[in-house]
This record gives sequence, structure tokens and C-alpha cells, in this order.
Amino acid sequence: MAFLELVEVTKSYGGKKSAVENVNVAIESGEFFVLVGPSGCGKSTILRLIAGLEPLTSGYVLIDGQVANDWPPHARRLSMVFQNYALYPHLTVEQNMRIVLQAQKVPKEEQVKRCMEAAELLGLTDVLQRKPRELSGGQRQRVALGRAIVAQTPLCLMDEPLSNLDAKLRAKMRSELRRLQRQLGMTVIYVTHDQTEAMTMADRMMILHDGRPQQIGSPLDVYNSPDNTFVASFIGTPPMNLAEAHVLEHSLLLQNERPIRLMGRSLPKAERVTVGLRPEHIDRAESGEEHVTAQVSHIEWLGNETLVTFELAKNLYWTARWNGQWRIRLGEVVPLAFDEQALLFFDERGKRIGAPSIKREEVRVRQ
Amino acid sequence: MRAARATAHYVLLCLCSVVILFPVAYALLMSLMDGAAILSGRLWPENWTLVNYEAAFQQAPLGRYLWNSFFVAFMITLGRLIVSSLAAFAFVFLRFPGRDRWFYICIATMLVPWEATVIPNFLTIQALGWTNHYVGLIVPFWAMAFGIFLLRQQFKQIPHELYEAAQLSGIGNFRFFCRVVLPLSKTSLVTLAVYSFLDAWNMYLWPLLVTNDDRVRTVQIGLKQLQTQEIASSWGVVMAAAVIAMLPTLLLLFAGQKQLRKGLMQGAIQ
Repeated sequence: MAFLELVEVTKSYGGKKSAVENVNVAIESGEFFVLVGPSGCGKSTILRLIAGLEPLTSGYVLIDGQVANDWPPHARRLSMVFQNYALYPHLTVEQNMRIVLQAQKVPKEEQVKRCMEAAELLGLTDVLQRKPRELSGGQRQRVALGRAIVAQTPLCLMDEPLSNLDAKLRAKMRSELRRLQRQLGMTVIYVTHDQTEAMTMADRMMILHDGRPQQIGSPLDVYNSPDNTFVASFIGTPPMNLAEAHVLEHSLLLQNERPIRLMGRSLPKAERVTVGLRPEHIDRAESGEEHVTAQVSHIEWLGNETLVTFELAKNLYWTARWNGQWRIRLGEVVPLAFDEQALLFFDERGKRIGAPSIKREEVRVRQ
Repeated sequence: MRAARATAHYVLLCLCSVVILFPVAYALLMSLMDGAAILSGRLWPENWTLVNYEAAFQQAPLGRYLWNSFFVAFMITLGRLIVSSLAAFAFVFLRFPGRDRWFYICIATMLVPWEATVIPNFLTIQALGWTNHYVGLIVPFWAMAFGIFLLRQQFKQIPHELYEAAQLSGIGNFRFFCRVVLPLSKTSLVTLAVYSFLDAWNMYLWPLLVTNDDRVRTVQIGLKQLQTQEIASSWGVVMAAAVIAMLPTLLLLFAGQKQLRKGLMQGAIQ
């Protein structure tokens, strides 16, 4: 049985469009589950619905198999790390952690013990008597985590906890957070708009767009087989190359002007499709190989790899990712080979041809 | 140019301060003169004397009045802080239907001149049998729209996530109010306290209406009594009493001026 389940969860604020619509997911104990999507996609709303900070419009939130729709926030036994950390500014680090335990009537020795443990785990021992404003951003972030840890709740919700840190610290905290979560066996639901964070941290993730879930799966599944064009372009940097195409016999016609011959790939039956190809599946063609030529319109040298953008057709730019440092010039015409087995096809509504429809996970309501 | 402007400003400010401070200074000087000097219209006492102060304490139970004023002002201040902060907490943190509308209605009462409510208030107090009691002087001033407004603006600055975090960890409303909201709003609470104390201390019409007994009368009424007791008022005595009555206000103002200004400005420049 899943630890936390959302069943047809919908939230609307009175307007015509729902902020969150028909979310179904079951989260297992000990899982690191990421909700990812562009801003305004409803991911924070889902978190607040789980926390009980907002009432549901319809659907069920199940905790341990029990309907928890009407439970007040503290009865749900979860902790939350807020984007702005929500530390009490007039209390010291220690008091910030202990106020939670005082409210739960934990005995005093136990409070001190848990605080010391959490502080040690997070490297906060030296700053326990300081106030939040005397701490660095990273330390504040840790205090917010510490508050979640001392509460020893089985579920922790995190709302973009790393977004206020600088890039370097963020990368460091990503792995640290994951290590901590494994060590403590916490179940975490983590909200982010950053697909890199989602890819690197998640056991499973849900991609959201306009309040609707687009796909649920492990990061690599989602990367390799995106269910639709939104997921395809949202996950991965640089994003997947997409183009509208006509399906002809043994070839594709991109945007009515650029034909691509396919040798060994069976084509979908549809007449018009959107094709997708990840940048790492575009190579420089060797002599004698089947190829298309295109003009280089932009180059980014990242040191270990080179991102080269080509103009395939009018206003159709595709990017290739090549290992190493390539000496090419702007405007140069380069022969390209596409890995045709990696081509993905999407139908006119953007759904991947051959993708399974989102599975409704089996739900058992125990009331 | 700039220097000239600054000088002009200072000259103007000095003139204004003279105008404003003159009555206070003159009252102080008069209280230190004997009767003859006052009647001859002197500005500066020839013989410094404290007889007026002795007389003031003898002619009226000034000590009692001062205590009454202090007690009443203190209780009004305390009550206002409690009522206003609780009301403001509800308006900011609790969810109930028509919350904002109720708040605007509450604010709208600031438009009703206080004098218009004197009669109904008096009738209520009388019906309750609270005339000539401290409660009659204190309780009607506990609810105050301005206090609620001031504290609401302050509480709104507290990030809502703090409240949500508290809810999640089972910190109840009252504990959150005491442990988080009040400590974070010290400046505004002090401002409101100073303002309320001064307001209550200088209250005149209401104590005059609901008291006629020396045991509960406040010092402002006592002053008026001193003035009218004799046909030819001895101004020195009246001034001495006035200076004594003024002293707590002035001390509070000097001590709390910075806080007061900070607090009153807070809502204005957001």
C-alpha cells in the first residue's frame, strides 16, 4: 500500500480554469518524489493541498490509506521546508528547532538530544545560539531542514528549498539533501521548476503543465520516452529538437522544405507528425555516410562539449551536442547524420505515438 | 545657496519651537514665582520659590489624582494592547467569512467623532452602575479602531509562511501569537502603548462626566477644580499642579519619541 496517495485531486479558485486538475499519484514510503514544471503550473498548490494548508475542491488525499481531506495540517504528521525557509527571525537556531518539539510536548532532554543530533548532522553545532539573520543563506537553508528533521515526521514536503542559493551551493546541497534523505529514510515530496534538480534528485517525478500532470516516471524513463512534446522540450538541456513534418514513403519532410531519408526506421501511419531528436543524437557525418547538410548558426563551447546550432530550414534551428572542443566557424556548412533509431514521433496534439496513456494507479480507499 | 537655505530652515524651526514651547516654559516659570510677581506680569521670577507646589498638594488631593490618572491610563493602555492585538491577529491570520469587510467596517468607526458617542456611552456606563468607578473610566476605551489598524499593518509584514509552518508543526494560534507575533511586533506595540497612555492621561471630558468623587477623579479634572475653587485663582498654584500633571507626559514623550515616530511611520512608507 502506498504511503501517500492523491486521487483525482482538483483545486480551483473559483475561476474557470482549475489550478490543479485530476492529479493521481501514489507515493511510496522512503521515496524521493519530485514535482516539476514551469512557474504557475500548480506544483506548489499540490504541495499545499497535501499539507492541508488549502482545502481540496474535489478528490482525495490519502495518508497511510486513510482519507485525510479534513485533517488539520498538524494531524497529517508532516514537515515542510519553505522556499524562504520561514525561520522565526527573533529566535536562535536552537529555539527555532525546539519550538516545534515544544508544541508536540516532547520532554526537555529529548528536545535537546534531537537538536544536537540534527545540528551535528547538518554542521550547525557552532551556530546554535545565533539568530537567522546572522547566518549565511546555506546555513539558513540547513536550519529549515533541521526543523523538519527534529520533528521526525515520516513525510517531508519541500517547496523549492534550493532556489535562493547560488549555483555552486545549490549543486552541493542537491547531493547533500539526497544523502540525508536516504540516511534518515524520509519520504520527500520536492517541488522545483528546475529540471536539472528534478533529473538529478528524483526517484520518480511528475511533470506538470497548466495544472495537469503530463507524465510520471523515473528521470531516465521520462528523458528517454517523453509522453508528449511538452515533456520532451521541458526535460533536458539543451531541450529536445522538435519539428513539424510530413510523413512520406521512407522519408520525412521537415517544415515542407527539408527532406530526411530514413533507411531502417519504420514510420508512423499518420500523415503529419512532430518529430523529436535529442541533441546527442545528431553527429557529424563521416564521408560516404547518408547525411543532410546544414549551416552553423550558433556555437557554444562549454569546454568538455560543444553545442552547435544549425539552421535546418527557415526558422528551424536544431542543436547538436558533441563531445570535446570543435573548431568550426559560423556559417560553415556541415554534413550531419541523425541517429534515426532515436527519433521520436508525436501526433498532432503533441502526444507521443505509441506512448501508454497515463495509468490510473490502483486506489484502495479505506475510510 | 544651500547654507542659506539651511539657515533659513533653522531660523524658522527656532521660531516655531519658541511659539510652541513658550506656554510650557512660562507655566514652569510661573509655578516658581510668588503671587505678587505673577500679578505684576513678570516673565522671570525674582525669588525662586516652591510654595506653589506645597500649596497645590495641600489644597487638593493631588497625590490621589495623580495615582488615579496613572492607574486609569495604565489600565487603558494595557487593555487596548490586548484587545487591539487580538483583533488584529484575527484580521490577519484567521480565515473567516467577510474578514476584510469586517475590518473596513471597524476602520470606518474612526470617522465617527468621539464626542458623538459620549452620550450613548454614558448611558451604558450608568446603566451598568459603573459611574464613579475605575471600570467606568477604563473599559470604554479598550476597543480602538486605530490600534487595530496599526497592529494589523504590522502583523501583515510577518511572512505568512511563518504561520503556516507553525500550523504544520502543531503550534496553536495562541502560542503562535505569544511566541512569534508579539515579539516580532515590539516596535508597534510600544508605539501604541505610548500613544494610548498619553491619550488616556490627557483625557478630560469623559472623567468629568462619569466621576464626581475625589477617590477616582483624575488629575486633569483636579486641575480644573483648583482653577475654579477660589474666586481669584492663585495662578502660581494652578501652574504648579499643571507642571506636575504634565511631567509624566513629557517624560514619556522624550523617552518614547523615537519609537513613536518609527512606529507611526511604519505603515506609511511601504
